[in-house]
Amino acid sequence: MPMRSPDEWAAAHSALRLWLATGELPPAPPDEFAMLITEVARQHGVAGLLHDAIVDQERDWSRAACAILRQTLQDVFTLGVRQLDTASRVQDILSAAGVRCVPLKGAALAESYYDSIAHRPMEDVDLLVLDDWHRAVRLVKAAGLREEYKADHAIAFLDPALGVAVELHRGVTSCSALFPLDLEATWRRCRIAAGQVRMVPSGEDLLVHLSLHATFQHGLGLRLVQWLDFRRLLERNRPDPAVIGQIAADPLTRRAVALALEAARAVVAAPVEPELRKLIAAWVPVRLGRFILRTQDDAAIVLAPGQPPLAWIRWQLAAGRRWMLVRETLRPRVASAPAFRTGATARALRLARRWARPTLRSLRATPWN
Amino acid sequence: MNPIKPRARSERLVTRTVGDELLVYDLDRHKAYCLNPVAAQVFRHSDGQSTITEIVARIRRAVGMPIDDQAIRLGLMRLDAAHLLVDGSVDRTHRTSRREVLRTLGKTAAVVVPVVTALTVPTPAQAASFFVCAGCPTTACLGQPCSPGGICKQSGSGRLFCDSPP
Repeated sequence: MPMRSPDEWAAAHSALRLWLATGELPPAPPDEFAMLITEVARQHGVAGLLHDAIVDQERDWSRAACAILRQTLQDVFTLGVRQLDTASRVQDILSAAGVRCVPLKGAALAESYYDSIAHRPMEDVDLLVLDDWHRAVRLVKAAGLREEYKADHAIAFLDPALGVAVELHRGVTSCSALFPLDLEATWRRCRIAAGQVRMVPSGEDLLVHLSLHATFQHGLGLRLVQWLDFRRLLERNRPDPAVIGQIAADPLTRRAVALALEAARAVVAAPVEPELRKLIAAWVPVRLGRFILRTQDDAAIVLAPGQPPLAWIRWQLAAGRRWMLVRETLRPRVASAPAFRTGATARALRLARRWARPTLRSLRATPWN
Repeated sequence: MNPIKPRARSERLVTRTVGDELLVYDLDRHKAYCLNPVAAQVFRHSDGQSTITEIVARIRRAVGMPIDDQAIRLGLMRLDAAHLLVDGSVDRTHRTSRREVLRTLGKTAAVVVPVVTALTVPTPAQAASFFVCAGCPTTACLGQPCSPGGICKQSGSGRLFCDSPP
């Protein structure tokens, strides 16, 4: 693909965002621009959806662009079926041993909130373990999955036969003690789904999980398909604000939910109903509120590949409990393996070595006032 | 002798229509196929209730073209070879070759020959374009999946993972 100017990339992002927000596709963009939109759609995980929109709306897009979109749709479908099959298999293995787990993010959304698995690409499948964590890890290893790497809140496994990555989570985000969730209640609210993954969290739980992941894990820098998740949840499920209020009982969780929903409104016009808007309006602290106002003028701030002000957002989210953020970052309470039981100084050095560069980059995007 | 009534598998298959083609993923064998329009019609009409003659008539009506029953037999053979039919629902002794069908059909063959293409299941990096991650000091992870704010990390087996911030 030829080199493109930043303006051209911005125009392609903008065209895609407009389409996701309004449903309106450019009727017949020039071939080169169609190819650029196609590339951006692939980066943002909406290529399959774009392919089907072009076909449904009978738009006259370039053949080359349509062929790439079609191939991507086919790839996402075949990989997605395989990924969800692996998720379902791991769920079965754990469930047979009495260990409960629920899918997170794409694995929970792909079949229930999208018309096709081909519309919701995933890098891996995430499962949140609700019971004995160490037993769950042992069971997954015994089933032949190979441990690939560990974080404080999750371990990534690889199914060597199928090449599918499964992340077993013990928390929705890292530093999960900052965001206490009643997992028993999450389990009670789960529903049986008709697809490959049979047990999925309620829409309200999913909304809170997505919000925590978006704000704390990624500082609101998401792909379009991840923002679309919010829109789909709100459109197809109409979550009950009272239940969201119960799940997000903690003020930090409430901030994350409010922030993510306001950003989703700005990026993909996620339909937050008046009752829910009224509720979340009271949850956003002033500084984060000012940041959200900026996203309404320029949604690219919270769109990959922009560098989100991650450290600043975490700091603001943790207001009132910042000592816990520091402690959880340096010495996570939920150590996943003995390797993590290193001293705070050693961990601080390790984190500094690994994360200094991205943190410095994200400081450029930090709204200091 | 009872006429053969082919039956397409319905269990442990996930299907998805793309235009007039059909994508089929076999969860038992972890293989994926793309069925061209004629093969897709043969698959859909193989309900275990209809004979080959009845299937031919239905497909002719559906596609609006004169389709030879040899072509349908070829389609059934191909679906059977891909394990997309219930075992024993086609006669494996009566083989139809592609060459035979092409000879019979002549010029229309390109349109009406059923094709079942095996698909390669991609890796996540092949199934989409990804951003180059922000924190990697080298270009080792170029093109690998990584979330915004994350950095690529190599696992013991050499596989690259997106390590999200702590």
